[in-house]
Amino acid sequence: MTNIYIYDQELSGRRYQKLLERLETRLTDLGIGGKIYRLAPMTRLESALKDELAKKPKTIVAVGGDALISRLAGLIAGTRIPLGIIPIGSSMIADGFGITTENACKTLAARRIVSLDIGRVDGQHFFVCRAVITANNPSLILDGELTVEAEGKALIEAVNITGDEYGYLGAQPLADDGRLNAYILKTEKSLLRKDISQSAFICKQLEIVKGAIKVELDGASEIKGARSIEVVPGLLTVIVGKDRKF
Amino acid sequence: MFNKNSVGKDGIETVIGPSVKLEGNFVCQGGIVIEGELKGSVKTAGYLEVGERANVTADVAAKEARVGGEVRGNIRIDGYLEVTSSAKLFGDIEAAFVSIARGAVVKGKCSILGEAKNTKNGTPKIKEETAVNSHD
Repeated sequence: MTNIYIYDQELSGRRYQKLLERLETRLTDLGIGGKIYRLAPMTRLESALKDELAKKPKTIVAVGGDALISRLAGLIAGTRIPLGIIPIGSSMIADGFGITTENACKTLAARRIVSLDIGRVDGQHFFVCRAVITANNPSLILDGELTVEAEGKALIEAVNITGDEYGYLGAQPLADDGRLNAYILKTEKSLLRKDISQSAFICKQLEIVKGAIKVELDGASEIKGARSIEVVPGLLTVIVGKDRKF
Repeated sequence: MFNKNSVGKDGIETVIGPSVKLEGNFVCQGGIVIEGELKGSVKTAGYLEVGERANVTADVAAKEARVGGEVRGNIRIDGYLEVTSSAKLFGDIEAAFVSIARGAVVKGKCSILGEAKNTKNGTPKIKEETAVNSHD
């Protein structure tokens, strides 16, 4: 069994050369080197990984930002193959898992493996941290029982996990509770100022009945016409840092 | 392994903000804050707060509550119910302890619950029953 490292296509420039060389040396020193895939602009991640996933690698490691991490998480969800992360640049997901560029190699070597929930949109698109729905006069059904409506423009955030710095009201989203935290954020205008009002709910599944314009997954990819968002408990296996925020 | 304290500050788990409407039979374990509209029923093992601008058309059950908005339905609180001066309640109230501020509108029967644990069959003993009319 080997480790597979997937490099984000943005890392092909000279700008990242020295950083990548330093990381590769560190990984080799720690005895966790492996096969490297460098994604090119036209490379399809799914086809590049298909054969490797069939061989059940020891770890699949995303080297890059949230877009790559989120896509890889969706691809390996349910395979029990651990997802490792070496974040390059800012990453909401790595931040939540307590992983930085500096501690990533050490974290991979330590192999603190946990099973976490993952979010799923329309049964096929996955997100690790949150799905943000931009909506107008939205109507939602939570867990098939509760109807929630909001007037005007609203952001609806379905959050699986996050750090505690986002200012959400109510219960903190947990990575292993089998639930999503749903927030409705609205701008309330008064004569002199604008306030953001927040509603907070906990559910396992939310159906978007009307009003959704677009859905953004992990701040990385965007889909239109989404109808259903749910949590799938324990489907994702991840190597996390000791300073994770949940 | 993780922080298991999933309930928010002051035990609040659910918030229904202003200009948000919720319809259905809502049951939860944590605290609830209602600033918008709710229709159906609401039941929690925790604390309930109904804000000044809230409009609730539902039977309500909670451990403790502070009500400042309008509630049309029966209210049952196991512990302390605080009705503030801006509240408008249309329905019967049952609670172990009640305080009603001057200016509050209360139309319905108000019953003070006894200690349920001390009764043989477990049903709450009603110590006192008082009809409370509008204070305005």
